[in-house]
Amino acid sequence: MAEELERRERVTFRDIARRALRHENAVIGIALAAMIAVLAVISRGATITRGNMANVLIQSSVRGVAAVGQAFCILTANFDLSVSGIGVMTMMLGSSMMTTEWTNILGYPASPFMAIPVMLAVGACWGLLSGALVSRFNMPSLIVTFGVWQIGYGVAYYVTEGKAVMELPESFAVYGSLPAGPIIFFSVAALAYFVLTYTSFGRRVYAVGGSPVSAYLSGISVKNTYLAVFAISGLCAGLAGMLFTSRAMSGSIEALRGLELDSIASVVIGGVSLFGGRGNMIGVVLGALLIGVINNAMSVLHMGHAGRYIVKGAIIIGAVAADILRRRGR
Amino acid sequence: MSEVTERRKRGTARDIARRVFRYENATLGIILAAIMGTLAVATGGKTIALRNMKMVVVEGATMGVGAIGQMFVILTSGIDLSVAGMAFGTSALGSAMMTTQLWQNILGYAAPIWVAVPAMLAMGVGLGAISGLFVSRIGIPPFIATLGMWQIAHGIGFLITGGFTIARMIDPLRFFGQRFIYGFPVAGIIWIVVGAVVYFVLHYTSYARSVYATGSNPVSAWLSGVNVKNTQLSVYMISGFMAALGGLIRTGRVMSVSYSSFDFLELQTIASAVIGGVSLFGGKGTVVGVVLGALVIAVVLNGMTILRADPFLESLVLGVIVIAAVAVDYWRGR
Repeated sequence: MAEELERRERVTFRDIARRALRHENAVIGIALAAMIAVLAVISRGATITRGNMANVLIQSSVRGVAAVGQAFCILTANFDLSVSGIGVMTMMLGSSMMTTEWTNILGYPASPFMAIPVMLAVGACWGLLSGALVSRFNMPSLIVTFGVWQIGYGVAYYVTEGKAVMELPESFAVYGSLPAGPIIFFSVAALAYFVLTYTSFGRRVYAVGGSPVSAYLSGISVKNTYLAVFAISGLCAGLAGMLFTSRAMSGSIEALRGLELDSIASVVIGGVSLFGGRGNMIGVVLGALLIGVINNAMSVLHMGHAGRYIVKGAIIIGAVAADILRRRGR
Repeated sequence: MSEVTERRKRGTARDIARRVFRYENATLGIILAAIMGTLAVATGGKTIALRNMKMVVVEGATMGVGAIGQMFVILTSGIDLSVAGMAFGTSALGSAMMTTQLWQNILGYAAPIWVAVPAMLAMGVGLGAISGLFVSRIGIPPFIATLGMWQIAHGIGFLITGGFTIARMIDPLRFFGQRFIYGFPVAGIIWIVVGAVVYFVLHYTSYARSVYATGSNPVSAWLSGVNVKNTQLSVYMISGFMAALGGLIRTGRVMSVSYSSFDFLELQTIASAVIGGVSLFGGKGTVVGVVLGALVIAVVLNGMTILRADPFLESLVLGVIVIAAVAVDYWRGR
């Protein structure tokens, strides 16, 4: 009796281990853990100090929030290149509403409670615009969002004529710093995970990404699903812009450069298929953290630009190659 | 008898007109003419002065040559995001070989053109081959493989230049960006020759068939005996070559290279190809359209510079043009 129980327990433990290893996010999870460990050794512990880990979390939350929105788009086999354009636009708009400097566009400094909803709404509206162009006119998302990205930068420039905005109200600093920033990131990701896994909208996103034709034939409004995912991505881009503004406590045109590619890389490293319909939010969060850890370690280790670019490129290609080879091996 | 001939002639003229309008690049040609007309009026004729038109061609050549390479990749339903990185990486190599500032020179002496230029082009082809191998042999999505390659090539450029601007290159390098032959810029001649060769290749060789076939349906292309993998590999090598050539032209014009010399080149080449009517889903597009598409962007950027528009207004206008061009294309296709 006792023996049997023991055996069962043993089997259960092994099962759990096996299951964990077979879980689709296992590779990225192990890669993240290994990366953290290796970097900790190389930097003699400098990367895993409390202050630095907090830094990584805060930095990752901007990228992570954008990546969550991007994941919705990529799950339907679309791209959203407009992330940094929309982010910068909301950043300039929000900061120039709140600033006490002469760059204020309202004539009086607005409170964060007024500015933040405006920033999010503007982000969502521009996402809706891309979504409308993609779904109603059948235009390729890559081109539409590329155009919106350019327009976003143009609008951002017009808000302040390209000048940086400083002097934001102290009460605004809360959102992007510890602990609110990472909490916002993780709750957005958890909400997205819930929506994708347990709601009919989530099913629709996967179905449309898997095969738009069969989704249409089974009664799903493909067009409205496209519209929704771009609106979500725009909203998340606006949120990312808000978080970054709060962290930097200033608005600048140059701030979010490269966010669209970083967010796409996080999503893809997280195991979401670029052909749509496959992937989950846990992977996306891990992907965003992985890029955050690597970026941070490279600056802690004082690596030059050359090394940074090469390492990042190699990791992006390597992660996807590993994923593809693993799938092929099955 | 003479009436019949006359009628025939009249018919032919009408036919020609009709053909021209039905020609797939007609809309684009008209748009280009309209933009040039508008800008000429807005600037009081400055944009269509001969000297400025030459500038547009030289400026546009880097983008135009790169866009032709990009077209090959997009025809196979891929995409090459690495163009700007490649152009910087190869130009960094070339300029570090040709500079007379010895502390920046990687060889220790200023290499002649016939050593440095082939090295640049070979590096472009080689890096292109690496992305091509990742795409065709491992099956990495082109977007990711070339995004990674952009970073790697950019990093190599940083490695070579150390992040500094390289200048003081040997004088013969000016040939590619500043010289004129019978009043026509060499950069433009390179662009035209590349375009003509590609036009020939796309119309009269079996290689073109395999490129178009791979783009429109890789499975049926494979079933009908096309070597899909090698076709994919080859288009990235072509794109790498064109990126290096584009880098050479711009380096020859500016006579210096810095890490921001080629910012946004990958997006400009994609935009040129798309404005030129190349379908992002593969298998559809012509080189004439791509050349016109690059000219549209070059003309607009130049016109905005002459109008002293804010740099970010440029990006706004460019965004609107790209979306409008694709929208027009889709409406016309309906």
